[in-house]
Amino acid sequence: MDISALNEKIKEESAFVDLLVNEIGKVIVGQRAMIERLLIGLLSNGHVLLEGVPGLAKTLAIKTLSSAMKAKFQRIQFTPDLLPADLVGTQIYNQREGNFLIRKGPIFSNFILADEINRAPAKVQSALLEAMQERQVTIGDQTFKLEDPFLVLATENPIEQEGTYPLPEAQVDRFMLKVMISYPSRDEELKIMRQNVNAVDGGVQQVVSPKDIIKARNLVHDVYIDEKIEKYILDIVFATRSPKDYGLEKLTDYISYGASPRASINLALGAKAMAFIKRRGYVIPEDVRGICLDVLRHRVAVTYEAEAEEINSENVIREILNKVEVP
Amino acid sequence: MVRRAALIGLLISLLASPALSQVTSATASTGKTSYLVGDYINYKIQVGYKPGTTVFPPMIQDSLRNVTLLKVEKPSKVAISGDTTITYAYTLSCYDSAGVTLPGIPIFYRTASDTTLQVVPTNPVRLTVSTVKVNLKEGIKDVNAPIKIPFDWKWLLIWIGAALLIAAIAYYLYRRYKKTKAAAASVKPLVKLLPHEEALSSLHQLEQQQLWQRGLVKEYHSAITEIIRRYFEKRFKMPAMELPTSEAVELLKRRPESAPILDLTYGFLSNADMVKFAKFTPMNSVNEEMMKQAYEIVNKTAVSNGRDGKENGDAVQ
Repeated sequence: MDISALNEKIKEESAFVDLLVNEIGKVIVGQRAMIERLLIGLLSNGHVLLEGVPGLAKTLAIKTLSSAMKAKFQRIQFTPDLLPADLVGTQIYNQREGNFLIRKGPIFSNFILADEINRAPAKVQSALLEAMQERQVTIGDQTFKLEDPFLVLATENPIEQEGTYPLPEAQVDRFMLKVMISYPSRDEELKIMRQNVNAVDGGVQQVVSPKDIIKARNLVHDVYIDEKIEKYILDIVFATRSPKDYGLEKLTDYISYGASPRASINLALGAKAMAFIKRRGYVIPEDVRGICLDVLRHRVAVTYEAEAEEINSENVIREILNKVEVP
Repeated sequence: MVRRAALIGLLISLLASPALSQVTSATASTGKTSYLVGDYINYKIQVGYKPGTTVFPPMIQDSLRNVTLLKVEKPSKVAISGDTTITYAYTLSCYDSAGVTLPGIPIFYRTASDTTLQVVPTNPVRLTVSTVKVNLKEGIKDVNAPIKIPFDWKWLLIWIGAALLIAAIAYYLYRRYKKTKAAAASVKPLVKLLPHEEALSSLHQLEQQQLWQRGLVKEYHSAITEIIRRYFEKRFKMPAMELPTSEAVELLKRRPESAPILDLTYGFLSNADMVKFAKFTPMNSVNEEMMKQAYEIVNKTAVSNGRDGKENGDAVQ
């Protein structure tokens, strides 16, 4: 497709993004970056891991998003006694008819909020992550496709780590984005306080349907990504693996292991979705840089030396972005 | 009565004499009797004895006064017609000028038929030790001449070899230094171009290459933006090569001297982004306009004074 025509089409088709953001904005004050990342996950068919202290409107954001799309939403509180069957469903014996019935679990929804995913044992985590990857669930001898769109938003609480089951690196890698949520600004918090104290009813209207999202996804796939941008993405990812080749010798001792090929794929997908949100039919370096931290921060592991010097993966990625030349 | 007493006395003296005992002689001697202070005195004790007699080595250390025992030689034995003579040799020295008497040294021995330890003394030896006569008319000189070390050809050859090697290395280094110096002198000193001079020169070269005229539009836009970004890096000390358009312009905003080119730069870089990343094919007039804009950006922010780069101000972070 011609880029100008694609550009025009995307300008038209992505109009719902502003509507959606405005609608969510009626309920959620601030947190624009989080909402954008949720949309990127939705448009790229990826999942999002959110990290932030309690009370930062994580649940409210995804609930509002599902309301604005009139999609099915389920919140699952992960606890140490949760079982895989509580998540995906199970077979129940029907005494009257003498056979087993399938009872589907809460995972059969469009939006899943896996709250405090690191509180559940590994078997439950892997059941969820398998469903995220395969987009289907097998109960007994029957396999069921999950809803489309299907977005899992998992949260982790960074301040309470006792009695938790931290996600292994291989499983964290399955999340397209890891978004860090920070406290709102003073003005935003004033607005939040007033909104809640005065019980302002920010009733959310449906502004987009799940079908529109699926349609938009196809357009996101069509967003043009130039070879120069692809090389830029590869440069960033390869710099996490062999920083020395990019003049970043000082990072060699700080990186335990670099980003996987999933990082390159998700960086390209995320950049395309970002371009779509910005209503463009082509990717520019700003799109890559805009999504880079969220795609890479959970895929680059730092060494003990780095931790001792209070250097985290974000510092490493920023250093790489400041060194790799833009095309 | 007198005759009887004389006979008894003769008998006693005969019995006590060495001629009648198992040890036939015990004599002490030195080579000479006059020595200078510090001279070596070769002191010998010779003991002659008959077979079946055990002679114990004399203990002279405790008997000597005013002399110092320097060395004890190994005793030597000589047997002549049944009798044995053992010689004990010592090196002594005396450090005071005086008349010295080396006393009689008791020689202990035992015979095979009798277990009683018997003794016979040596004769005392008188010596005269005197100081060196000082000739006040002569100058001061060494007591002993310096020791002469025998000449060793092997060491001489080693030293000559080492000296030649050092000389060769020194010569090589000198030649190398001269060569480097000559080469450095032949290179013309580099003229450090100011950022705008470098940028203008690069733009001129790019113009000469006629990239867009040959259909290399994307390459032309990549090259022209690279020149401008490199210019910004040097002129404004900002990492423009590592920043996308929006972030580069944001940084430029922090420099007041970039105010006249802010909008121009944003438009210039954004247009180039369209060509580079969105397959946009600009009209020829746009390509020409890009070159004009590039010259304008450089000329409007050029700094002409000084070549040390200090005029560019602080780095933009």
